[in-house]
Amino acid sequence: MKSALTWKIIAKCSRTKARVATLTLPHCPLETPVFMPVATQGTLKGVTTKQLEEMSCDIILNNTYHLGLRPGQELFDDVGGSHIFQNWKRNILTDSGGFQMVSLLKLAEITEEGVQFQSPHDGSLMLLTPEHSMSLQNSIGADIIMQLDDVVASLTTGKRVEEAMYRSIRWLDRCIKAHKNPETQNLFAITQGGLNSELRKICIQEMIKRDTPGYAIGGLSGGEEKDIFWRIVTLSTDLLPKNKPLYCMGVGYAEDLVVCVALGIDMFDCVFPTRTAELFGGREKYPEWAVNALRSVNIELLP
Amino acid sequence: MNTLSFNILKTTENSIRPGKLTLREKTIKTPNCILYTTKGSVPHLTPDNLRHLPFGAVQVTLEQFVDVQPPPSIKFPDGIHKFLNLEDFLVYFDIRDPSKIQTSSFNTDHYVSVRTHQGVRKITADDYIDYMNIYKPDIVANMADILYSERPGQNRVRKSVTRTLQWLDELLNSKKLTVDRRIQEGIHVFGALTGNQYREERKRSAEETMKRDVSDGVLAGIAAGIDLFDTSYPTKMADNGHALTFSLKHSQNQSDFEVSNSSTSNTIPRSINLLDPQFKKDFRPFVPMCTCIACLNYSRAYVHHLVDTREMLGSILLISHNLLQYAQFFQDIRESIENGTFEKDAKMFKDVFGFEELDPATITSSSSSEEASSL
Repeated sequence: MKSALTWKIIAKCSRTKARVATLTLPHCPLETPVFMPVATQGTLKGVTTKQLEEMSCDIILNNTYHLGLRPGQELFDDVGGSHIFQNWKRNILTDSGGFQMVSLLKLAEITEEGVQFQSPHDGSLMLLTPEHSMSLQNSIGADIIMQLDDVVASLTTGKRVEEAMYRSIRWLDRCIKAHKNPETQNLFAITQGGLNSELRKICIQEMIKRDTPGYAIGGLSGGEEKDIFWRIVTLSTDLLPKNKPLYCMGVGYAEDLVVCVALGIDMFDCVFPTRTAELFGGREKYPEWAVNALRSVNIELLP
Repeated sequence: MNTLSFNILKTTENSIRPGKLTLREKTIKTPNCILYTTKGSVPHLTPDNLRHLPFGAVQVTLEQFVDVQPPPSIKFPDGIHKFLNLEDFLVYFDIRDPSKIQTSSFNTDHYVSVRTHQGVRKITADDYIDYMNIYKPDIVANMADILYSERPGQNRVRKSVTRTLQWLDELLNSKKLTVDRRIQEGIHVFGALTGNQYREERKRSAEETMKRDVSDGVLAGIAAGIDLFDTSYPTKMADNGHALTFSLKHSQNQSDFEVSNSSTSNTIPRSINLLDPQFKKDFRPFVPMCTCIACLNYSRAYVHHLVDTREMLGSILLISHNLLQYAQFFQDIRESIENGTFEKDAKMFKDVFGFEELDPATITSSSSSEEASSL
């Protein structure tokens, strides 16, 4: 499909799968690997956009589900998008709203048509379909938009994981069809399949055929064992195209970032630094799982 | 040399007067306002955002520092300026939070009661001196027996004046915070005035305070005019979601504040409430031509969204705007006094922005802090 980005790898690590690249998006180029701070409601907690620029931040996340509720789609159509509304001249990525299927599960009902959410504010119902998610994201106008996927909590097992994986492929097709601005907004596919390597493989194979401008690994970072987590990441980066940006959703702890970069991930997001006032206490040594993960890409940590 | 001087730049037949307070190579023209802080921090503002604003002095209150005993801040060796990362600001130290309008508990001849998150604490004149010895503010208002009830009896007021003078003496004659040490550290004493509604007690408070050796120069300027205010009002308004819209120069147009469904009014509002859904699609700045970071970069609609979703940036933008608006208001007042048009301008202000009955409770409470700074 069409793409509104260019992706140029500048250097590759001689031992691991890590790479440095320039990702040029509609609002400005940025260097990867990149951490994208989360500005759920169209604002990064307690920071002005000027301060963000001074911190050399080139891309932030907005959340489609939350912005769809408040201030609402009509406002974005009136004002001309989220960049103008929040006075942010650099890039934005919008999440599709799929994650809220997990975080607001009690308020969500999932069918083939889409997800029905109950508004936590006034109890009104919102049916988020792949088409509606695309329409909202087109109005918000982010540089990278995400497909609506069927997200299950990462500890889920059994048929539900398989169902969600296949449904995410069908929903990707509906998103591609409904996406109105492929010349100015990049639609990323989100690979699913839980902690099951076979399901992950099937999903990746199918999604590669859709040829989206970039790919995300979804359904991780939800409390699963790190030893399984990193194996799914490395399997995914082996199978996904090497010439496209790869985004591991919801990852943000320091050692997770180091490991995932070594395994070939380019983009990250996490509420960790913005939501937790506490600093992540510097660990004196890497946990066992991280040592194993790095060993898989030829890095032996000094004792 | 670290002297404080206060010059009246012009005297008028009434008590309205422009002045100039100079200290530590900083000049503050008066009438003016100093920044209200909570625990020494201007609410919601990081130092970079604070330094966009034209303020030179902060007001810090001991009440907010003593909830944990002993306060960790007393272990910091380099004084309050450095502790707060406000070395380029003048620090005015007082005992009670000026935005609190209630008494915390009773005061006695020996201590003032202050309210903290950990309950009521008693501060003696001697404690206060110890804290000032450590914090080393530029200006310290002496401990005062402030009465918060609306109409206290004359005997109680007399006691308040006497106690306050007694505590002033203890501060000025302290063996720990001697004159020499005050000079060396650049600590200047402001005498706090009390007396409430009793003219006689007001007079006694002022006259007796003047007899003491409080920062000279300041005393030379004593008159009925109040010279320094604090910013607790614009801060409170911001916390309630309001952006200030008044100005003495009246450069605003009524149309800037018109909304389609509002009834016609001849006056301009003094503030707008950003929580109001009428601003949902209002893409104008709070006040046209305002140069604050909010008005230059963001719309009423966006700030409405921020306060609606209780986002921190909403508070940052509102307080940045309100403080600049307030500073500008004082600058306009000073110009107006210098030009001799103050009374005319004040009348026009009333006509344009409407007359608001002042709540007596508010006057009583706010006057305490103003009085402390009025010398």
